[in-house]
Amino acid sequence: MSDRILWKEGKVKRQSLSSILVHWSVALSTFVLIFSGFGQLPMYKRFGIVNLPGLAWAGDYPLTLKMHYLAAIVLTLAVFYHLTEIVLTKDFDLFPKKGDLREAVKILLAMVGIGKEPPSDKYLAEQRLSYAFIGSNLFILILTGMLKVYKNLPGITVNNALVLWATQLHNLATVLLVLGVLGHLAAFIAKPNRKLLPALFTGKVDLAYVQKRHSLWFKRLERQASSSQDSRHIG
Amino acid sequence: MAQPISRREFLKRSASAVAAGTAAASGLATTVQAASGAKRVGMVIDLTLCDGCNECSLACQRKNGHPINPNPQGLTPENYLYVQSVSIDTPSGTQEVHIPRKCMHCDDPACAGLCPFSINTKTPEGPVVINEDYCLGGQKCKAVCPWGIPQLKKGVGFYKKLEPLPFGAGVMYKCDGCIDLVRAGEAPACVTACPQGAIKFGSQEAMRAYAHERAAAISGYVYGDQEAGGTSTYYVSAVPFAAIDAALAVQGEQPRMPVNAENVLHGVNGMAQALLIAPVAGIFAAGFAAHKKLTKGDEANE
Repeated sequence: MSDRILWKEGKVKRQSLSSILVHWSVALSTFVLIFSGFGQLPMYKRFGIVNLPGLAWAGDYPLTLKMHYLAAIVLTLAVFYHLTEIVLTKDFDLFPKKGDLREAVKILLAMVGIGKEPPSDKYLAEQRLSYAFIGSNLFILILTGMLKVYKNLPGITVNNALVLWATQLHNLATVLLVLGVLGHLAAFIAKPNRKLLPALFTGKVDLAYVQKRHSLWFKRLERQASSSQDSRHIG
Repeated sequence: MAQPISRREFLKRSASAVAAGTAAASGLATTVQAASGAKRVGMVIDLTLCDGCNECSLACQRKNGHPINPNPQGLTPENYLYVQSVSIDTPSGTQEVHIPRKCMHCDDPACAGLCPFSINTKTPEGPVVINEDYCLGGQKCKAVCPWGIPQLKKGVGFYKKLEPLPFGAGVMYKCDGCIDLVRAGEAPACVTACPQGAIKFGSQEAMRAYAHERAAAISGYVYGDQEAGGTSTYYVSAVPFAAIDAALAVQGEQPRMPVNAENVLHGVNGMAQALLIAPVAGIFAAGFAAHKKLTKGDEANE
């Protein structure tokens, strides 16, 4: 884990380069998959999307199929890279913890001025829940999608009932994923959450923000720094 | 318990079996029992024998309970088999060619493979069948079919139950290869109705072999073996199919008969294989990155 307090900069290193790359690979491929997937449903001709300027290609099934496959390769690579990284580094910070649902409600209420926000670890409770929700849907989508792709290979026969249910699950998980992504993006409507945005690009967030909102994480980082021989902690 | 049979009866039955086997292998039999073991079935449509009488289309309409239309002008939700007629100029003079058109029942059907709800399926027997109870009529199957075979019937089907949600338009209909008859060991209605014996039916391998034998015998051509990566319907013609397709185009006929028609699914085979190995590649990449990091850490500690 590369997380550490950068006292001189007044920042905290929150995300490694590989985490940033994984996040954006997943985000961009998911966006392409959702767009091309709805194109395969088929919806764009019916709802006039193909008539919008520059979107005539959206009704081209072979093209959106290729986009879907290509984005699926990127997503699958990124997800399996991420899962392996978790196992190897034992970094389970993003995994939901007991009491997260209650804590998430408290944080949301505090945002609208009701009650006091509980101190957070590296991630807010709702981030951990959102990760689990989006992650599990992505995992279902990858597994069912791979079965759908496999059965389309020349000469391959897969039980039709299995394909039928995999397809319904794929479609259901897509709807849930879209809701999850919308919820994930809506989080940035709340002003306090916007302080986390720089971490998605530079990997760093403001130290003062961490001390105030992620005090449990801050204490953990301080303890790690003091116990480390390489600590550059001067404060 | 099996009944004992006389020597004369044994010889009679043996002769019948040999005759039936020879007939099937040579493509002269019109029916092969397909129900047992779900053996894939196929069909040969011999254009040198078809006289355009339209009996196959009428038999199809009767079999599917459709209103009888003696002179259909194309494939419709109530006419799954349409006989096209074209005049082709050949060195030996103008030839009238009649072409019964219906679903080709592809080996790797794009219509089924890309159905968004997987309710269009390739049956183990070979025919590609749309589940009319759940089809929403999105017409994607028609768009990805190299021949645009499935036809939309608006205002019917499952989507009506989903209203007012704006999903669906009707139901897609096409030839189902008379799958019920095939499963009962019988030949499709068009096969038995053809007075010219122009439509042969049997195991897919036997039909493919017969189509090529027949084409070789008349120095003709086969259509449907290579198209869309392979189908289970083989047209045999003495006239090149490129000429037939050109004539269809001139007449504004649908469906056309493009030689070497492509299969949308085959355009993504490479990417499909890459996707299936992507998990291994992801795991390997993460392992490599972790190893590099650890090695770097060890070097720094030394």
